[in-house]
Amino acid sequence: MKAFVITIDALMAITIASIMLASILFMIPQASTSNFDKKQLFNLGNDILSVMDTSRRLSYYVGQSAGFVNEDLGFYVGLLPKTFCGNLTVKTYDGSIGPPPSFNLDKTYNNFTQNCEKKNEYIKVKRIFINYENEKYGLAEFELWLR
Amino acid sequence: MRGLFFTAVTFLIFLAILTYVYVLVYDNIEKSKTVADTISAQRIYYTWHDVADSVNDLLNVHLSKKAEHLQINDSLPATENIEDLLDLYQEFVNQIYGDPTINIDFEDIDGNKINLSDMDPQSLFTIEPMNIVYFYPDYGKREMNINADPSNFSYIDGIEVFIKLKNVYFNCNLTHPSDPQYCEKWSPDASVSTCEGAAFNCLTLNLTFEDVNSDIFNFETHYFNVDSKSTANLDIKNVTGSYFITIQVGPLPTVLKVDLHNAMADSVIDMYLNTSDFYINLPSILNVTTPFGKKVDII
Repeated sequence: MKAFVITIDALMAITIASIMLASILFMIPQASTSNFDKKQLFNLGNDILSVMDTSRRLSYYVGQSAGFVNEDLGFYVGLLPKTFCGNLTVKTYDGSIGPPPSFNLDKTYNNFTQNCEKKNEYIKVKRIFINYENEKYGLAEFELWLR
Repeated sequence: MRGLFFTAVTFLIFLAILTYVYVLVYDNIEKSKTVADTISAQRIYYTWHDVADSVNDLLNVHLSKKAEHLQINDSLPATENIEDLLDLYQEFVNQIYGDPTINIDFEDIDGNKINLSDMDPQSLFTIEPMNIVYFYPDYGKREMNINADPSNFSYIDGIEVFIKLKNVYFNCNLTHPSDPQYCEKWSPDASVSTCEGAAFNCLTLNLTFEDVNSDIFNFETHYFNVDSKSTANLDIKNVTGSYFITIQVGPLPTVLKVDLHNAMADSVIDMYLNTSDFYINLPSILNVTTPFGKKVDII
């Protein structure tokens, strides 16, 4: 009978200890993850797109050669800190009033951080722009992630 | 007894560690929630401004404000069908730009959804709160107007207008005021020698035109009683014939009206107000909503 009680006691001790350990191990990663890095990525991405838009750089790309635009996009991707990686894409569209109204993809320009594989967790920010003279509608998308 | 002591101590150590980790996790979750809320709010803010700012591009007008100075850069007449551009833009926002987590709607003042092309061109670009309006009779943009109620006219210190004509020449004498063919002819003429101490609504106006040959004509008359009407026809010509640009100053609520009669031009209007406390509205409300918040404001 004494052995039985000791065995039950040991089993309970092991069970409680296991539950506590599991809880601690489960919670520690949650205590160390944070959204602050996402906020940094989000702010930086939006700031870069805002600069490109307000300086009319995005609109200027319409009608330029793909080589020129891709290289220029590389300049903006290069502004990211070393610990950040990015993939910057600019798409222009032709619109047709229809009906129904529709949009055909006209051109796609792209540049990205070299030697930095895209991770599952990334932030995507967007900016819309218009080129009145050429009647083009444009969308700039910037995906950012931590190296 | 010793076993019980060790068990209790071990249990308490585990409990302390567990409590400590729980406090860390709880604190971190609260911080993450704050950051997530900030990101969500910023996303709404950026989206709202992104969509709203592009509307000016569709109208091919750029307004910039610096203290009491408002500059309007415009291109007239419209070379594209602006109503189609506005409708397409709205569709572009919905089809290409938007996503299921964000709702972007244009609304009237009562909150009803509208088409962007339903914006009245005659109430575009309202300078609030003094309700001074820069507008066109229609989206063809062959004529530009500045209107102000007499009660709000005193907010305007002065206006400078520079119009670069892109496809016509002056068809008048630029240099000799005594010549009947002189470019500046006001009829009716409510101009005055000065606005200093005027008992009526008086506009200080500096009006300059440049033609396709880069010849420049600066109107010599700078002060107008805008309780009455003044009109000038500036004679111009192109390869197809001769015609004129009509400039009207007053009577209020008309402050200035320039009818280009299809002459192509880039204009720069510098408006000087007596306060820096103003903002510019378009006659549409933009509503950007996510599950976490929204921004509803006049464009």
